[in-house]
Amino acid sequence: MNRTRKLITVSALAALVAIGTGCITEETGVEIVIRDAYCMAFDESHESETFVTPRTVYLADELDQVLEDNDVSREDLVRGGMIAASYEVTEPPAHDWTLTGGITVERTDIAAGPDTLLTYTSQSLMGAYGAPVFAVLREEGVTLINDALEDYIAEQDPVLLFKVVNGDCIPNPSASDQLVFEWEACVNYYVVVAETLDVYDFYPGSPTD
Amino acid sequence: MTIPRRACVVLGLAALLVGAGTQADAQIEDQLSAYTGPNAEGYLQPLATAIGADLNGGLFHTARVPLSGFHISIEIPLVAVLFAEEDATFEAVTESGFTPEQTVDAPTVVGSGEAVIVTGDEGTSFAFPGGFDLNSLALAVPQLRIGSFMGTEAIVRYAAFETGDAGLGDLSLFGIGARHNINQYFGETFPVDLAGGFFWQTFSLGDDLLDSDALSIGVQASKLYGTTFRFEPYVGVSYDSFSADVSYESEASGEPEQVDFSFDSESTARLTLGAALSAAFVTGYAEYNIAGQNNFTLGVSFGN
Repeated sequence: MNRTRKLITVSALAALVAIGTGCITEETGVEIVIRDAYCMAFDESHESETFVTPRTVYLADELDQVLEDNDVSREDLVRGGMIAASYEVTEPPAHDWTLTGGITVERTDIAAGPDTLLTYTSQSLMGAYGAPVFAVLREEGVTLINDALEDYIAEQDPVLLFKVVNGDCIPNPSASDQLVFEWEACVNYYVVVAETLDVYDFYPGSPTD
Repeated sequence: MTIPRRACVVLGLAALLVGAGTQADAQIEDQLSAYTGPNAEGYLQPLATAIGADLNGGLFHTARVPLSGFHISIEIPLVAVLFAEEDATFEAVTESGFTPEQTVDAPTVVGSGEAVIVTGDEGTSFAFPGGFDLNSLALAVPQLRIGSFMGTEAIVRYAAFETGDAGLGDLSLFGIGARHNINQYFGETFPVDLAGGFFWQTFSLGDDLLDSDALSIGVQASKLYGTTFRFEPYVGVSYDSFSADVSYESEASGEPEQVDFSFDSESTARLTLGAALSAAFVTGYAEYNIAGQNNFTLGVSFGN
């Protein structure tokens, strides 16, 4: 009966609104989650199994664009975090290779890192072609990324330097059989935006009231 | 830091969800864009169910359908659903390669505004968006009733709103149906009025965010007391169905991804108990609907 009484109250209020003017709104806090990923393209061409390929990510610029696309500003953010990382071969080699190595990350705006973010072990390039492979992560690299997100929220402008550090390659590349392929690594992350909205609710309060 | 926002959008349909001000962003579609899979369906489910329940309410307030003559009335039924505690959360599963995969009770679109954060391997975490902390959904559904031809009348519902800065895009409602006088076949001494009919509606929200259809087929009975001031209790039984298609874009994977899914057609029986009070050309009525999701209707009608 309590529920029926609520319904009657709701409808009575709503009817008054419908025949009158104005709106019934309740101010409520809503935490919006924006999920995105920043991706780095690597063009590899090597005659040796050991190689290092760097890429710089201006995290602040990346995030500024994401926030602009979602029509929110940096001061609306309350927290952020890294979800996962993946890699994918986008242009396959002439034949398959098996690679073992990792990706490190460091900050160039402040002294932090380098730390290993992810590793790949005996990864077939053909096996990573056309579909992302979620990587085995390392806590130190994830922590550096999380700290960079928090620093961005704190109005800093983090710059990240990623390096592909390859160790082994089977078969071994040579001048006559070069390791040539393109791939992309992505870091999935989220940021939480806190907003206060006026929502239309003819019966404000908890559903269990 | 939070940004206060304030706006009045429209009456009735505007009860839907968010109001917003100069920056229109924190809307349903924004929250949905954080989901790429089945989570989106769970997040929206209470809203879809409530819309279905609201649409099939307030379709009639009498079983009297004149056999002939010109009869017209403009009606504004306002149908309200109260959300229950169980509508506030759903079983959500982590996405985007997050490990280990976890299932948690996350807010639905009507649930708590607080995001739910879970922690995973190696310092990773995953966030489920908050809801809009709604306790009720009320829809005003203006309709025109016109007749009668051989004991049959037509009913048309129409409403269209632009939410402007609210960022939902357009809200639109169209419905059409007919009712037929049944008690004419039982003789003049039959003690109550009887009618049967159907009503079909389509309701859309946003730029293809939600497109829904509702159908109600049913019979009604009522008994009129009084002449100058009239009192008329009524009852109805109907078979209702509702389905909805949802479409939006997510960039959760880093690239724009179109997400489409449907709420399967949901069919329920509905029992309506109501009463109308009228004088001259004005009628006020109230009804309670017992269905898959119960709701209450208050309405006013102007006409003959």
